[in-house]
Amino acid sequence: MFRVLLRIALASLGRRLSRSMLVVLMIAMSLWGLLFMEGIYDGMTEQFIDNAIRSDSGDISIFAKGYRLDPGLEKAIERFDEIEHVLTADNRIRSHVRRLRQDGLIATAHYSRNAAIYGVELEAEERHGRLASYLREGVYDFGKKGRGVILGSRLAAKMKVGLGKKIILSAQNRDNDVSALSLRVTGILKTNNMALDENAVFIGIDKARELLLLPAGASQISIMVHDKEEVPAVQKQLAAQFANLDVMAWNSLYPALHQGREMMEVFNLITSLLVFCVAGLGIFGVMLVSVLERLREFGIMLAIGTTFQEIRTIVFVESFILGLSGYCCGSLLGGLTLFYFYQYGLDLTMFSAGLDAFGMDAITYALIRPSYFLTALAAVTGATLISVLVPLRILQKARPIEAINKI
Amino acid sequence: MFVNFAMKNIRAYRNRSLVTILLTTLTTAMLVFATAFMDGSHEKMLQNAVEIYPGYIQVTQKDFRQKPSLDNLIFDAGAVRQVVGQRSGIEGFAARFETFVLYAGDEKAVGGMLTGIEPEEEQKLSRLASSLVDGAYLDNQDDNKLYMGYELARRLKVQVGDHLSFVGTGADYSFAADNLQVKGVFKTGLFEFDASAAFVNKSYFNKVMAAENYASHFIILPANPDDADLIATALNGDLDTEYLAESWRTTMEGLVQAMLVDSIFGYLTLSVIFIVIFFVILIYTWLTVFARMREIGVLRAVGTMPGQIFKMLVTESVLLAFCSVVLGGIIGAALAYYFHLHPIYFSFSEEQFKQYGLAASAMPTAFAPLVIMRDMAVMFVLSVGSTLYPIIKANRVKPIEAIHHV
Amino acid sequence: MDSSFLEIRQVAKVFSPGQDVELKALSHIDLNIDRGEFAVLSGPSGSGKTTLLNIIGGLDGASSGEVVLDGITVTGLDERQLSGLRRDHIGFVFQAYNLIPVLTARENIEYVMRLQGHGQEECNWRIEEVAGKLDISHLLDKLPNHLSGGQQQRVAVARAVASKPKLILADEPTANLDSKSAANLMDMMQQLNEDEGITIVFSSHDPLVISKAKHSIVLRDGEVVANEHVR
Repeated sequence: MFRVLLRIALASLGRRLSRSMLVVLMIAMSLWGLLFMEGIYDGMTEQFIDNAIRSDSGDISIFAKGYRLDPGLEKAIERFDEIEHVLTADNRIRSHVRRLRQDGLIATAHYSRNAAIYGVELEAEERHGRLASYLREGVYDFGKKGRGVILGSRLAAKMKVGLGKKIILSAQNRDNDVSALSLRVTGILKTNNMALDENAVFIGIDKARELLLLPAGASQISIMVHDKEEVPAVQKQLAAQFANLDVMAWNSLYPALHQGREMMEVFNLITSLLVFCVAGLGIFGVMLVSVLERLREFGIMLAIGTTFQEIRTIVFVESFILGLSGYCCGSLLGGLTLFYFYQYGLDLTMFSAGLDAFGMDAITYALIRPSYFLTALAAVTGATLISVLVPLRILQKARPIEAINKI
Repeated sequence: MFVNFAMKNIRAYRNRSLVTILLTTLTTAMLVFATAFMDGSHEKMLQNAVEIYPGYIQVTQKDFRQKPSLDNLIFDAGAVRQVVGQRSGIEGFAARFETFVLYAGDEKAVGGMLTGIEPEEEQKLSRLASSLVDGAYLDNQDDNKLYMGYELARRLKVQVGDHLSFVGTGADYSFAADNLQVKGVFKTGLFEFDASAAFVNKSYFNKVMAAENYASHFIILPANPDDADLIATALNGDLDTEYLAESWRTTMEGLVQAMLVDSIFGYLTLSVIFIVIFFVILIYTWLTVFARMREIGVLRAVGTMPGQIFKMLVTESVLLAFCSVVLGGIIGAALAYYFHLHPIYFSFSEEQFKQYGLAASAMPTAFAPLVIMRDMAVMFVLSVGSTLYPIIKANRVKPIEAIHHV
Repeated sequence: MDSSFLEIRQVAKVFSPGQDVELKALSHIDLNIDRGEFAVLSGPSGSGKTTLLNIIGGLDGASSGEVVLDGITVTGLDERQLSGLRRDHIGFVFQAYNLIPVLTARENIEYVMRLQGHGQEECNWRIEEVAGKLDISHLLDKLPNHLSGGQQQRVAVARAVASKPKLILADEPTANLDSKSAANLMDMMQQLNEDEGITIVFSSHDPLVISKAKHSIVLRDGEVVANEHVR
């Protein structure tokens, strides 16, 4: 029986082909736009977060107690070996790096600026957050004697220094004297993590120890886990284990990014709701007219023994076919578009000055999440089913059987 | 006759009319308000960013922006002062000298900016003085008194009345150092700025830095900020070619463009919503026009020209679109006006504003009648435009087919 | 020259030509109808009455042959010219009345006159005149769905007549009416034919209606099987 009903439904849609196509097109276009928007916006948001995590916070960071509020050399993480032992033993943790940080001054013959001096281990950083991928100029190396320095891109621009140029770093050391180092620029990094691009000066951790007179200890240990889902659990456990340290997940280190992600989710949800409500209104109009213009036809079907349930099935099936066709076209179109931008990215280089001000990459790579397609399917199904409820009620009240004898 | 006829049809086909009016009104109100919100917030952010410190117009030595070294200073501030002083349409102006130094407190040393300003003139030009949170602002008689950012003071662990020292380079490349006493602390809300900037009276600065009659730039406040570009251009005519006057649109190009990018994404989102809405309007027009197919056939049979039928159907769309656009425009404009007077306060996104250096969380919407009319016109065209396809399609049907249309 | 008011020369109509279901609706019809005639096309369902009327009125094209109305070759006109021809010279009365539902009876009648460019005063005067003849003066301000079938059809006739066409084409005008209304309508149409000198061609298969005609043409399977002047 269902096959017969399906055939009737298909034939009815075919009889008003242009109209059916319009509805399909409407759903497809709105879905296409929505998918594109979600993928690109999420891509942007995640890119921000990814940049911050890779270049700085990791999934989790460990600091000495109170360091975040009042950074200083006296607040260095001691007993590093002990911590490292725990981190290495935990198989949820992918990698960790230690960094030594102190605020100071970077100077050339002409300019000087304040800077955040980071003592880092380049190889470990590369394994940890692929720091080398952010390199814009020069090499990812401090040279044989470790006399090289890698600068944040904006800092380099403001200092007007290029590769091979000499700079002087000065900072307060452990003994509260100012000590200085002369180094040559070997590389320039652009992480789009604004704080780093604006201030960061990366030198070898051993050079940093030399400058700061700090033979051991670290300011920060950045940790990456294998599975992002486990961040809260790992953070909790480490926090309990090292009660005398501050163990913080990336989202409390970068609250603005976390907030941005949540706002984006709400924003996407509202937009989707609005779009599907309006699209539902479109389906409603078409189904209402399609039911009303077939009153006579339904009357005849009822007269020859079709049940109202079966007629309801026809109407539901029609609406569902419209929705599903639109969904398939829209998903395909949207999926392909997102795939393109996932592969090649959306290039907004022409606005690079503006994007820089936001700390955005010039090329945004779209995200493709299965959830986009699943929620869209649920929304389309919901919209198609809800939008025939009223036409069906009207159909029931109109007593189609009486319509047979009307002209 | 056709207007009358169209009115009757609008009343007779109530569903289509209601949906069209509702959706077009909603869309128009949405666009008008969204534009007002985006323009308003962008204007506010830019205004804040400009007024806190950089100023609407800056005059520098012509190479300074490219290569801000001590070789590219304004070495005859008096000459610039004289030229700028003669130009009309200017509310006020002052010289500044910016340099980077290392500050050292009792416990800490931190790099930062030390700028010599003309305190009393500066007070009228930027928001430095009004951002005071502790102590007092500078005056023209001050000597080694420092007016510093809140975050910088916190990092150096100094308070009003405390002493600290600085080490830097004088205008003649000489070594410059002195002791300073904190006179006041300010907080603009721009984190980076508050964490690195500090100011002294320029007459004192000139002595310690050997910078008499020098300046790194002048800032100029136009009587009407909208004239910034015009005045900058005019000044470039007045000033020696050695100097360059630039409006905030050039000096803050990044931020201006960032706002543009934000608008583009805003309009992108709106257009996704609008696509669906105009599709729905199209579909409802389609349904009504085809429901009236027989009627159209009869009209054609009794001698109505295809062009007249087109005119009649378009008249309906135009009337519907016009009413809704006016209604939507009024709603949107009313909202825009209300939130123009009572800015929207975004407490929840303060972190983000701070991150982008936008010290503002109260955003007024823009109320610009011309922009509102433009948006209304766009919506009118879109609304009428989305009904054209069904109308043209219906008009192509032959009268005989139309009469027998079921 | 012996040329009639309406000449139909070798008109044929084939539906879906060249396809499997090719249908010959009319084959080589030759007819002459004089000015002022009251002619009826009769014949069983599917004999081609409606098709012929549609071709005469320019609503449908002929597959071959030509129709000449008062010197104008109808079959050679484009859509625009056809619209003009129908507006100025032809009035239609349909089986299903086909009044514009959103317009009142008066506005329905007035519509074509306004298309022709007549002023309000002239329209009012003519509407009163025609409405008087068709006995619908008291119904003029009602909407079509408030009228009975007979009343609607009289309004439809008034609409066709008001613009003073040379020819009125009526396709089964009485098919949806009871016999009393049908006779009534036919009497009125006959009166108009005499008063105003309008040529009227209508189709019907109702013997009572057919008997009122002065010129009877019988169609069967798309061919003319009888063509005689009764009185």
